Amino acid sequence: MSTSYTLENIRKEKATMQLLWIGMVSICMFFAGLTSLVFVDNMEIPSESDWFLYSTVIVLFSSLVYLIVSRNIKRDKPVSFLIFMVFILGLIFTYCQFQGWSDMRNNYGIIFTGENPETGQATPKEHSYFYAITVAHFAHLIFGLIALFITFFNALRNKYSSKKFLGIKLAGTYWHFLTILWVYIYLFINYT
Amino acid sequence: MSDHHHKETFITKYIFSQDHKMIAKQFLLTGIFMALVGMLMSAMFRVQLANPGETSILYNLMPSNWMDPDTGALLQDKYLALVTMHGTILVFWVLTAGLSGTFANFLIPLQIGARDMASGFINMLSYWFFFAATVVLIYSIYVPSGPASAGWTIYPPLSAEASYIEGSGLGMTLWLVSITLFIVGSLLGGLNYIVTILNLRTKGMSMKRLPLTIWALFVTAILGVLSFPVLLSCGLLLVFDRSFGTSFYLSDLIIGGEAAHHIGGSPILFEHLFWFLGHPEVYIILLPALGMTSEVISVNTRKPIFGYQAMVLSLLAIGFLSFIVWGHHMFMTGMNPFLGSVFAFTTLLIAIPSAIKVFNYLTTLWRGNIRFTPAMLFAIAMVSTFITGGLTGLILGNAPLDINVHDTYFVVGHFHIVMGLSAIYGMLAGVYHWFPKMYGRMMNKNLGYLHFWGTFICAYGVFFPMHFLGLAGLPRRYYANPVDMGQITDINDIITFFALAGAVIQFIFVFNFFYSIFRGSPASKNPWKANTLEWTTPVERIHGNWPGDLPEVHRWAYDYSKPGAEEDYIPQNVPLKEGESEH
Repeated sequence: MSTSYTLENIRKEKATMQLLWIGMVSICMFFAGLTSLVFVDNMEIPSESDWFLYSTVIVLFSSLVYLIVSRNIKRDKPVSFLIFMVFILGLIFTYCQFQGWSDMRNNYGIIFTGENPETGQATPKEHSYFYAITVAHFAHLIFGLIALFITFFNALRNKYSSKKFLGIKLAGTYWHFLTILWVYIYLFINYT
Repeated sequence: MSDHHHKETFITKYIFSQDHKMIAKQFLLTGIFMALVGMLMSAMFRVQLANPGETSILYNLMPSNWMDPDTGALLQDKYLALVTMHGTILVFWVLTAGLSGTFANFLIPLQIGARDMASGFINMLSYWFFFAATVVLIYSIYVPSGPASAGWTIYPPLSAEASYIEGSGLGMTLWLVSITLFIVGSLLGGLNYIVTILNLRTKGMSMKRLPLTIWALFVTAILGVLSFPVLLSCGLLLVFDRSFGTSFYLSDLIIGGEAAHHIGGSPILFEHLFWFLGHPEVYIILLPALGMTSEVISVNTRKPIFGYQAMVLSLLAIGFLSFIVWGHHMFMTGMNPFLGSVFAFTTLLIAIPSAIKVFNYLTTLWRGNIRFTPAMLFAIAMVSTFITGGLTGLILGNAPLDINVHDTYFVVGHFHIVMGLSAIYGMLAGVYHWFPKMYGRMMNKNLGYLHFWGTFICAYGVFFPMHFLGLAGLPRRYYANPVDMGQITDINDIITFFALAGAVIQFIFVFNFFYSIFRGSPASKNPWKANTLEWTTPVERIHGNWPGDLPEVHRWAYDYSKPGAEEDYIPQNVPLKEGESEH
């Protein structure tokens, strides 16, 4: 009975991880669709603000911290503080993104839509595109923050151990994915 | 008794059910309802085409502002709305969700030997997103400015500005909301199907022993997971153009004498993104029908399916090629002729795996001990339309030929036969074949025959003559013939006659379906003497599918008329005899 129960659990964990992986493939296709436009239409995307460089460093750092979380849980070491730290880094990333958007609008005149007050011209699609792709990433990041918060809460209640840490694996995989996705977007908007 | 089977309330059993079989029935019933709505819409615009500018009792089904107050005739913009909604409903609601949603949910766990889907909760969510999408779409029909009217492909610029056409107002916004909900539901379903097939196969059910139905549903789910997100990104930018005034798809056009306040956008961008989903969508619709046809033909010829491996490879090849052919929908967009020839080449390549499938169906039928059940007739009809519709596809896949008949009734005839009829026939074959497993009762066979022959004759009566209209140059989506086309004009009358007759005949199916659920003769456990695992479950529905242990699989699904066997079928859970080779 206990053997079949364990096997069933392993199978279920594997299936849950696969659900996440295939979901991430779907998200990749969503962003592939968005980025393909740039090549089809030879767009040059603006990316003047330095705040996005800061957010890139922050999100990479958060992923590194999460790697320690993954290592610690396998050794039954405490993880709740580290998960909380990743969550806070996620919030700092969010702050940087908002500062970046504000910087682009106020200091570089790059707006999502409407007329440029100086030229009176409608917003070029390249400018709108910049906001579309970065906000789309942020929309996915919100789910990552929610997942981190739930994982942190569960870690506080000692729900994870070296034998049972699916929640940590799921949240971590998604968070690393968001990091990679942001680095891709950052490089993409800077080098196209 | 399986520990999955537990006491259920009315709500958890029939409404928010997590049992894959009930969710399948929910998809099927919603699909049938939407099919009737889409069919009634087509009857209305066919009446208009046969009797332009005249009134009809059918128009009373729509809001009163759809008709001219003086003549009672259907208004021109509402004709476009009907065509748009008919296409949307049939492509997405009936042939994607109604077909895949029903049979993937019903057959995947049963045929691979699983208790349920990997996540019953996600499965339930998938249906309710679909249901919410349905409510929004139906509601959009009744908004004062009318539903979306830019065609089911909702090409900008018409769809991108509320002021451009009547149907680009609230109706179009609701269309986008509805399709977003639909995509979320489809993605949740697709994720679940893939993971279930990869992880929850019972002991002995290797990928090489999977029934072709499951292979087809597996490839379909992969196509959906890869292509629907692209449609979502496409729709998102359209929402931005419509609601926030961005210029992704709009440029400095002059429409209605006024310059649009946009710069630099391109509707061609939309077409690229749309058709990157749009063409795989053709196979999202077709592959489940092809898979079910394989199963029904093999069972009813009492023969193993011919070329199992070739069938699987063909499914994979079709799935792969469907991603690199989207440009053949865009030959008229000013595409570089070299690029056009590349897309023509990749398009024609699809003929190879398609022909392999047809060849294997025919060789399976050859010298079989054929039982002409209604399901079998629909399966054979599916092969017929896959051939006849596929042949005109060769013309449309060639850029120089396609340009001559672009946007004419030739195209309408082609895709209705190869995609619409083939998928509908596959779906009906599936309903007739698996009805006893779904409801524990048999459908009436004679009503089934009447339904089949009426549908088969009327469907060809509708779509075959359209090729001649198209060759004569009649454009699609026109409210009435733009010029007098002589005798060819009368073809529209003939098509309308068959369309109305075909629509009436569908009510025989509807009656048979619902009557048989309650009054059909009780079904035995395995009425078709088939091999796949679903026929080893008890007739009574239990959550968990099998009482006790899951069945173990020892052979493939196509051991029919095996030499030396006592009967002409050997279910997959029967162990191999000593010295017996698998196949």
